[in-house]
Amino acid sequence: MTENKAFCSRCGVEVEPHKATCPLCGTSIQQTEEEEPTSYVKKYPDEPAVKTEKTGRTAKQKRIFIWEVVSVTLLIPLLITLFVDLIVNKTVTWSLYPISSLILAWFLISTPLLFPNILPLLYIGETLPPAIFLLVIDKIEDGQINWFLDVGLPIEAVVAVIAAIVIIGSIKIKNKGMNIAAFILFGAGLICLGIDFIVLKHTRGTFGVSWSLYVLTSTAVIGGFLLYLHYRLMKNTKLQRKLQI
Amino acid sequence: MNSSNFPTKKTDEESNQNHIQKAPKKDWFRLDNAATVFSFVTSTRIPCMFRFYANLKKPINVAILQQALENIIDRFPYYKVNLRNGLFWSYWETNPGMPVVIEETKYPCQKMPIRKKGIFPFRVRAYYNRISVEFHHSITDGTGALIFLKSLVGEYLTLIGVVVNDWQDVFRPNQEPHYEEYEDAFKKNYQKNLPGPPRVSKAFHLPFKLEPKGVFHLTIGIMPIKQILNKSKELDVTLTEYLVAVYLEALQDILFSLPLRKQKRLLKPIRLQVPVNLRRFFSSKTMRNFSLYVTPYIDPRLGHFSFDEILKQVYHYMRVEVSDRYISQQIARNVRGELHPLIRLTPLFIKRLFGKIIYNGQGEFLYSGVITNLGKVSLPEPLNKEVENIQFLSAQSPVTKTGCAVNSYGEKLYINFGRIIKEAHVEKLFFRKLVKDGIKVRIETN
Repeated sequence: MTENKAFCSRCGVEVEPHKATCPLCGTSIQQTEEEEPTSYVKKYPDEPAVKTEKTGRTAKQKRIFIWEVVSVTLLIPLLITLFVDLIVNKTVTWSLYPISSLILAWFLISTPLLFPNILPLLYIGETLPPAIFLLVIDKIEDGQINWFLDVGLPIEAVVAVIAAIVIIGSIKIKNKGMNIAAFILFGAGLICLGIDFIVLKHTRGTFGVSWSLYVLTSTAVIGGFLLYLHYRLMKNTKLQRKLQI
Repeated sequence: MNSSNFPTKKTDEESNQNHIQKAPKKDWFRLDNAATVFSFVTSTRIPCMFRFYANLKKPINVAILQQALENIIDRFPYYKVNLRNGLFWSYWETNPGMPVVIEETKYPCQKMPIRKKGIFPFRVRAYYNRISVEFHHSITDGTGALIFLKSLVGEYLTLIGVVVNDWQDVFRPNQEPHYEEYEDAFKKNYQKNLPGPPRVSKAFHLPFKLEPKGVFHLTIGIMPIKQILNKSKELDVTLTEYLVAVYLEALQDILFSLPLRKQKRLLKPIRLQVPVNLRRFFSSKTMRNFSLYVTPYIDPRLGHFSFDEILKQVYHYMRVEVSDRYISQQIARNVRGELHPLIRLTPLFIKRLFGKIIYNGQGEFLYSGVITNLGKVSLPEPLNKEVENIQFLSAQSPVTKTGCAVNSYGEKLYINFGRIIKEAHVEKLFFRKLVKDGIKVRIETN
């Protein structure tokens, strides 16, 4: 079986003999001989045209889209409560509570969606709005600051400080895995202890703790168990691969 | 990339000696640095696939090929795996299944659902006289894949009766894998205190509309190796340098042929990604990823470059940049990022989200095209008499849109251009330049 040689007059390249046009420039290929083209095996099989899929959003576009949907979703109950309050009372009264809660939720959700890779901004975005929220709630009551400085701010400070310690500790520690979950539990237990202490001091004026001891005991036991799992049992088990850091 | 850097196992006796260092059975292992990035960004648009294929002189018997695959797969335990998700990182887990030879498709290097349970990170296709292996880049680079294809072809030809005495770098089913074949060579060669490489600006990209997802146009340029080697010798450069210069000139011509307003908007450095096999610089037997790249460029903002100017710039750039020092900087930057405590602690789904963003911003946008020269590919006697050629091609990203893979086999050089746009301008200018330089080029397409 002899193969006819075919060339593109514009590109100067040899093309496959069955080609009617040059694959590079589209120029018609003139066959040199008037013979019938020799049989050939297609280099690749024919298959149905590839279905065109919808063009997807980029990750950033997805996050902004989610943020937009969440914002609009939160705006709906906000406007409903505001208008109901205005219609019934002719002024804004009780609706300030749900409105401020919805605004807080909006801030808490927006920060990770809009600034997912700026850690300091994330930290501020998740700790500052709750403090402002507590201040606003306190002021809504009678326009005065009553419990915010004694209760709200200290609780917020305890949460922020313990969260910072857990985050930094988790970053610094080697061999990450279930120990991180343990740190989070310990942190939660300590936060409860702090809340209990602050609330008792405010309500009864005494220094001490009550219910938080139960929480702390539970978190300490479960956290300790997780540490045990991490440092003793996880070696050479399937958990190791699932929780590798 | 040059597979000849691999130590060869020539006889069974030598193979038995290697039993001392044989790899302990691993149920799972971590992804290397490059693998992590590829596993994050893989999608229908960015398949992260590449293909090696061998055209045999006779049609393939699929049943025998399947048997050859089953015989050889246990020699490559690090490829007989499935990608699984952990809480913080993905990992490779031994896949208890058996890979199956499948049919060819019109468009090569299609997306692989790599995270699906039971999926191997490679596939073997058979079509008429062609055996193709398509690998996901998260499991290995060209070196590993080429050894796999050669071993598969070797076993297939053995089963149909070809007798081979000296197997050279081809792996055999009765050998034990060496433990270093599993190694994460990036981490092994990571130097903590090295500064990262300087940042580079975004590059010029072809302003053409993408084809629908999955469409992949293949244009193969076949030419006598002697002619093109003589040409590069005449110009006092290596073959890679010559081809890089031709590619850069083609992209420059496209840029300067655009309407003035568009040209002004797109006027950015023209930069190519040229993968480098790190086994050339760092001793490693790894069969996983161990390649990075250098990025020769021209800056058309400084005016039009003549071909001689491009060639001069590429020549000096390659002489300086292709060195273990500069490559070590890239390793340091990449591995340092992976070892950062905050990144390690971030849940996998968040890493994947940001991995794609970083890849788009820091990776592909910095390059106008890709050219990878695998060098000379050969098979031991008498296997080479049964094989017409071995070629290599790579999937393209929606940013660079085109790219080419180069290798020689026997007396021929094969340049496999892949593109996911309709326009074949790069290929046209590239091959026309070769023809103008006196090289006889034959073009084949899918």
